[in-house]
Amino acid sequence: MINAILYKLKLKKRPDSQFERADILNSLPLRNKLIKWEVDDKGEVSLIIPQTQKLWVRITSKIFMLPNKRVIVLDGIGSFVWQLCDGRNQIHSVVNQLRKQYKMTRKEAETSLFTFMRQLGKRGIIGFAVPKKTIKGGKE
Amino acid sequence: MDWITFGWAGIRLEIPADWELSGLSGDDKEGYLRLDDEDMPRLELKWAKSKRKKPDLHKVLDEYFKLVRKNYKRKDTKLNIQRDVNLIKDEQFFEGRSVVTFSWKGDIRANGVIFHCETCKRITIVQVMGRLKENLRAFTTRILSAIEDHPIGQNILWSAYQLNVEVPRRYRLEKYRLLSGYLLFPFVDGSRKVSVERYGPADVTLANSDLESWFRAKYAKAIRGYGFQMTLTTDDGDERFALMGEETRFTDHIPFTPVLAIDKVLRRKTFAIRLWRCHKSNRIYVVQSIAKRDAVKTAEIVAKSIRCH
Repeated sequence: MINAILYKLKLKKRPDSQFERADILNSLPLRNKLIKWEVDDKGEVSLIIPQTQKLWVRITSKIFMLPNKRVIVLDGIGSFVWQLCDGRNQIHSVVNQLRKQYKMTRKEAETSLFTFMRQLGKRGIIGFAVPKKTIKGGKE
Repeated sequence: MDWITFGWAGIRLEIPADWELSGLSGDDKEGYLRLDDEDMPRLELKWAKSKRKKPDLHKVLDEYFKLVRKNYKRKDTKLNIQRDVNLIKDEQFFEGRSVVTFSWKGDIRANGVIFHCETCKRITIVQVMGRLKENLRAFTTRILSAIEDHPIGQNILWSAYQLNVEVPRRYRLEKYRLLSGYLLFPFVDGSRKVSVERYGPADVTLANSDLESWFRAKYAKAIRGYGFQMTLTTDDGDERFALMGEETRFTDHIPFTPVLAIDKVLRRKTFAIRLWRCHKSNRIYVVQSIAKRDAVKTAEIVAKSIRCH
């Protein structure tokens, strides 16, 4: 948290990302297996996210009788992307399919996809498998 | 490779179809834009008005190269810059312009030109970039030979993300919003306003309503205070709405003839909207024009200039 404040006030420089654009485009988005999901009649995906198992969360839930799961419903485009995150489609393939399905420009598709992926990634709903880089000597 | 015409702030050039806007700042007096392809930046454009009759282009270029050194220098090697390289063969390019060409090599390579136009008094820097082993000359020649740094006709071309719209010269771009799924270009000329909006994907935007209901809900605030009529036409399967209206006044409800003389002194604002859904491109376009005169004509000119697919 201290680092976040220092970055915001520009008192500390953010470390350069170890990943280049090509790495991100070649990465595989993978769904968190703990999260169940279902598709309704309209084709929209509902994500059923179990409650965190932290002690303070369990105590608070018991006191306030909160449900032990929450449901996030994705819109049409989100549902389309979610179903492509099966471990077989790289990000660039998802971008191309989005462009084809919704007639978006490359920039539109990338911007909306990256924003969506970032939000899901922050919540631990999705992870990314990045290809190993080739090191000197041709070994991977 | 397909080529398209790109326009911004009175500058017009031809570029490969897969280059898209990735950086933008400033206004028609001074500004910057960058176009990228899938992998890397491809074109940088900088422009500024000059008060001098014959500005020192080499000095301007020195300042520009300071930024280039900072951004594109290879870690252990010097940036290799050359000036007055042979890039442009078309003699017409040099008419009415002072020109200096350049090229440099660092992490990537670039060919470019800086020129000052005697007509519009603008200094423009155009730089085309590519990979080290790429043949840039063909691109550069084609882009530079077709560049126009000021509008020649009645209208100015504005382009972004496959939206190309021509707006009468007297209108100035007030601001812009370039978001994923929404583009907004509002233009002003004194009290006259024209705005162009594009929404997409249309099938997601209109998943739960039709075009007219969506418009009435979305633009309820914009059309409040105007009495208007709406006509629907269909063109190649696409719904098109045309709205024409006038500002309402509280005196409209007063049945007293002398009060209506106010209309002769104070003209009402008229507004015109052209709204259509293009199924081929899966987008919705909205062109609004507000003015005391010619609102309808302006909306028609601007709407007709948009090729939605």
